[in-house]
Amino acid sequence: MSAIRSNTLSSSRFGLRCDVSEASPGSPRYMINRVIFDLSRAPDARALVAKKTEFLARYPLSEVEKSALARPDWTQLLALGVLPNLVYRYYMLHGNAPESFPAAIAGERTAG
Amino acid sequence: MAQLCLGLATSHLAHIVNARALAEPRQVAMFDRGYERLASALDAAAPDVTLIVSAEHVNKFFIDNMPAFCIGTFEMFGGPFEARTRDFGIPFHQVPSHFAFARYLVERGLDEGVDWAVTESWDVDHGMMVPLHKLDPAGRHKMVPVFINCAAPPLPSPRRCFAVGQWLADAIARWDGGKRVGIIATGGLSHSVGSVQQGYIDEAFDRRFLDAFCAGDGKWLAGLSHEEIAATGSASGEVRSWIMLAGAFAGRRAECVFYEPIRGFDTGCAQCVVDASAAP
Repeated sequence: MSAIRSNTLSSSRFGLRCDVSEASPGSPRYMINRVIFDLSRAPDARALVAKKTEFLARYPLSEVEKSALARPDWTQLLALGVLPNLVYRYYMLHGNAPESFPAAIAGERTAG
Repeated sequence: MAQLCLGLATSHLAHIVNARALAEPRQVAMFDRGYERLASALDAAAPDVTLIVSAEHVNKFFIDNMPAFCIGTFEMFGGPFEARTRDFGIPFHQVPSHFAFARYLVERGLDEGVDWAVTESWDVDHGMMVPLHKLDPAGRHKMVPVFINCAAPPLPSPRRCFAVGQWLADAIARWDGGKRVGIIATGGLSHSVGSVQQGYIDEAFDRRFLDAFCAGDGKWLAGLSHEEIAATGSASGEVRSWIMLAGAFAGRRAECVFYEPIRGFDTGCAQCVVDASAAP
């Protein structure tokens, strides 16, 4: 119960429109998409990205999902089922120029 | 009896207003001229109300409750959604709509097998607001927004989109008051956003698609598979709006005003006008 209350307060503090503590687990791709969807709708999204470890802790994510979001790893996010539009938005929320995305993901694949 | 008086189709990418320098100036100028041609057609047709059909980019509709199709029912809507939080090149503003017409379509559809989702408040994103900014910056035309899920699979099939377009034409024809109705489809053609394919444009697919669209070849358009479309790009599914328009104007020819694979915009960009006066 205390964990739920903690999430509720945190959600409110981050200005999110929904309480993630009340979300059902959903499909395998649901929560990781939900993180980016919520983040991108927050008025202070860029600031939240700057301290994303704290932000991500509010969501029931697997370690693989947390890692992909924290690094971030664009190829892995896609592999985990994040919708491409949200991958792109998450990329831009990190202050990257939109037109640099193809090179960024190509570089990952080369390195990977 | 209302009259379907105009069909327009255009790519809707935001670069044409906020990242123009990424593309060759020649291509940007041609794209602009295409928009001018479409704007003239819209003004000349003088519709009483126009449906604007588009994908949405996971700004409003999310996988916690994703409809296949949705109509906005209100007298006014706002956009672009993106301008709420950043400089987008178009200021957030209001667009006049037509509640009675939207409500008519919903009620008829729910009675006749087209189970529309409904939203009564919607800040639409660039998919609608970029074309509207180029076609009707003063907001003189009433627009009813229509959403097709093109971003979060499973998506409605091309066959279903075509059929809904056919139903729209029939429902519009039964609407009272001798009104004139236009339809604008936005999105596509081949492109990818946020995927490993980003930057790839399938020009051969685009040209085949445009040939079929302009010839009024609904059988080919409706017969496209999810896989055929997805192979051309992660965001190419937006051509479903064009296919719905083709269904509404089934059999009628269209004029291709513009097509270029604009590498700087990562998109096969196209614009067409459907000749609503010609016999199918």
